[in-house]
This record gives sequence, C-alpha cells and structure tokens, in this order.
Amino acid sequence: MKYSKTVLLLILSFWILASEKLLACSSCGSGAADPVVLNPLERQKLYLGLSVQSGFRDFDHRGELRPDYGPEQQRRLEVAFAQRVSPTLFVSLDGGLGENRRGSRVKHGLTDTTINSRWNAWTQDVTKPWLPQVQMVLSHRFKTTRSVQDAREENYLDSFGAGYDETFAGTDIWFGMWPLMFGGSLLFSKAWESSTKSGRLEAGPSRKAIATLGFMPFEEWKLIGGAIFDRRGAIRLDDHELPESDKRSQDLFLTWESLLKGTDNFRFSFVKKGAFGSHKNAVLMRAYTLAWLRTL
Amino acid sequence: MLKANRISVLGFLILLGACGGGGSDSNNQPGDPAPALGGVLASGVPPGFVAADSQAFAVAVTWEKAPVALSLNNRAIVRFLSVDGLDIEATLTRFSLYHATMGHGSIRESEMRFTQLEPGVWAVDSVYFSMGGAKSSWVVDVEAQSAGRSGKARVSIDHEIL
Repeated sequence: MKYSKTVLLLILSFWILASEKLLACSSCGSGAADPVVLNPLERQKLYLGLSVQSGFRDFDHRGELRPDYGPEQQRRLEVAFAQRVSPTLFVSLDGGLGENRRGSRVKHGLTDTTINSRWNAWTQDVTKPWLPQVQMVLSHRFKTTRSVQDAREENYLDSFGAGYDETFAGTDIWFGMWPLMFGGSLLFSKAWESSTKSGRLEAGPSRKAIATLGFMPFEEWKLIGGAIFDRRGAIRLDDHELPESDKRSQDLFLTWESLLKGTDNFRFSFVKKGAFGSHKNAVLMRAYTLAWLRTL
Repeated sequence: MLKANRISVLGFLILLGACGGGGSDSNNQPGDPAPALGGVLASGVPPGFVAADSQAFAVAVTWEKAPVALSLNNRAIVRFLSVDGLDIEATLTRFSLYHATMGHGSIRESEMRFTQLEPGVWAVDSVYFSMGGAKSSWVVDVEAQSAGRSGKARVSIDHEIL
C-alpha cells in the first residue's frame, strides 16, 4: 500500500513536470469573466457555448437557504467573437440567447451584451518563469434585455438580464511557466443607475476575486480549477441605501479544455455557485457549459 | 523541479488566502432590514406606524393572515393616522411591494384592489408576492393623499413569506 502510493505520486509528479507550458489566464474558463481569450499568436477567435444551469436555491440576507421561485432550469447559448487590435491588446463581443423553464412553461429571450478588452501589460518569458503574465481587463455589460426589474411572467421566466449597465475593470495575474500553474484575478465593477418601476436603482459596486490552479494532464489538454469570491455592496434605490442588501458568495469551478493546434477546440466547465463558506443574498446552483472555439 | 512545484503550491495558497479575506460583509450580526426610503419615525408617531416622507400621514399595514408567495389570496389592511396619532381621512393611491434585500419589485400589481373600509382605513386585496423571503425582506411602499398633501412611506412586512 505504501509503495503503491509512492509510485502513484511519482507518476503524477512526472506527468505534471512533463507537461507543456500553459498560455492562458487565471479567469479563463472560470465563468466569471469574458469567455473568449486570445493567446499571443491568435488574431481572431469565435466562441459558441451552451450552458445548463439548475438546482437553484436562494441564500437570504441571514445566509439561510430558501426555495427559489425563479426558473428551475436556465439554458444559455452564448456567442462571442474576439479580435486582436495590437500585439498586446484584443477586444471581444459577447451575447446570446436564453431559455428559462419551470415545469412545462418555457420562455426564450436575448441575454445582455458585453464588450470586453484585455491588455497584456507583461508577457511571460521562459527565461524568467518567476515573472507572471499580467493582463488588465476592462469590460462593459449593456442592459439589452428584460430583467427581474421589469419581468411580467410568474417565476421571472421572462428575465434574462441584469437590469442595469455595469463596467468591470481589473487585473489578471498568471504564473504559467511553472509545472503547476497558478494565478489570480481581481475584478471590480461599477453598476450604472437604472430606471425601474420601483425607482432609480443602483446596484452596489462589486469585487470579484478568482484564485486558479492549473496543469496539463495530457498533451494539448488543460485542466484548471479554482474558487471565485464574489462580493457586492448594498443596493441604492432613489438614493437611499437598502439595508442588508449587500451580497456575498463563494463559488468553485473546474474547466477541461483542449489546446489542439490547427483545428477546433472544446471546453467543458462546471461551476458550483454558493459552493462553500457563508453566503448572503446569493444563489445556490450548478452550471455545466460545453463550448466550441475556433481560431480564425 | 520539486522546488518549483512547492513554490507554485505556496503561491496559489497565498493567493487563495488573499482572495478570501476582507470585504464589508455585514451578516456577522444578522438582523432585520429596517425600513428605508421615505418611512421615518417621527416623535409622536404611534407605535407600529411609519410617518410619510412629507409628514402628511403615518401609516400601519397589517395582514389578515401571514402572506404567502405566488398567491393572490393575500389581504392587507392599511390604516392612516396623522403623524401626531390623530384620526385622519386619507386616500390610498399606491401599494407597491419591494424585495428590499434582493432589490426588485413584485409582479401582477395591476390586479390589486383597494377598498375603503372607513375613513383612514383601507383593504388591499389580491396582493401578489413573486417570491418568498425572510421576515422584513419584503417591504411595501405606501403612497396616499391626505388633506391635499401626498406622501410616501416604506413599511416593513414583518412576516416570513413562504
């Protein structure tokens, strides 16, 4: 038993040490940031992702779990396109279609549209593996569809968006030259005031921290996973702060992605929202995403 | 190489720790959200009543029975007094639910029916909660007119909505 454990550890260590270096980022595939990222030599990339979200329950402001009254299942078809504009900068556009289900009732609608940009402030160098890749992220999500604010259908079946514009900015640090790669992202957001039937709504600012670990168990396949720490400040309605309306959740993600050269690639992600720790005004659910990526 | 691995793991753990800490979380001492937006407690306002932002009236909302989500069988009684606690006549103009901790309203508000029971007392029928919530997570914005003055008050719903 003792020997088999040692052999297993040796095989695993060799496997990790023999793997290729991974050019990626800490938020890639986490589901918490832009879904399509260009590697240094790529000029354009198309992304098509189909996700299924289910198992919804709500954490209230006391952190207690409650039944969810929204859709039992959400499906999302996400389309994104990334374009390089300079050797160190690329932009992407992201949108899609949604389907909300509860029992036999189904509703479809467009999802919000997001424009993203990533600037490589520091690129990794094999001769200096202790220096990470540093990317600056700037995104803006447009309110382009109906949300829980103006929903008319029972169980919010016609709600597909956030209900307000939001701008995200942050940094993504990735140590991708080590056999066992790791990194972290810190994204801050400012939600813009939105006019709702209840008044002028301003969601609180958010802070999203992502910690990621990754390696390549097989040639041209990468496995990354990590944790997302999501915080959002209190909501303001007509310039009054709503007490106990701040949000907190901790999520886990695991992504398996192919890195095949000269052909299409695939990515499978699993995200568990509300996975560990204490939560507040948050959602518990699981999401599975299968995505197809084509470098043009 | 093993050293490199150790550095990787150590670095990851440091990042994990850095990401997990901090924040301005406030449910270490969980409490009921106090009513906000409009409703202010003025001196002289009777217990259980909330003064309107304009001081045109004070209002209390009671429920015939504990309200339930996804049902139109919810009935509220809205009682108006002056901010000094005197009987007044008032016209209820709006009764709007809001999930204050989640930040959104309810639906089917057009199906609500207002009935004046006596001067200063109204019944609101067919009140629809689009989801459940802990005690005080739902609030109701009451708008009314009294003696030619209009006002708005936010009243907490002190029931758990199931």
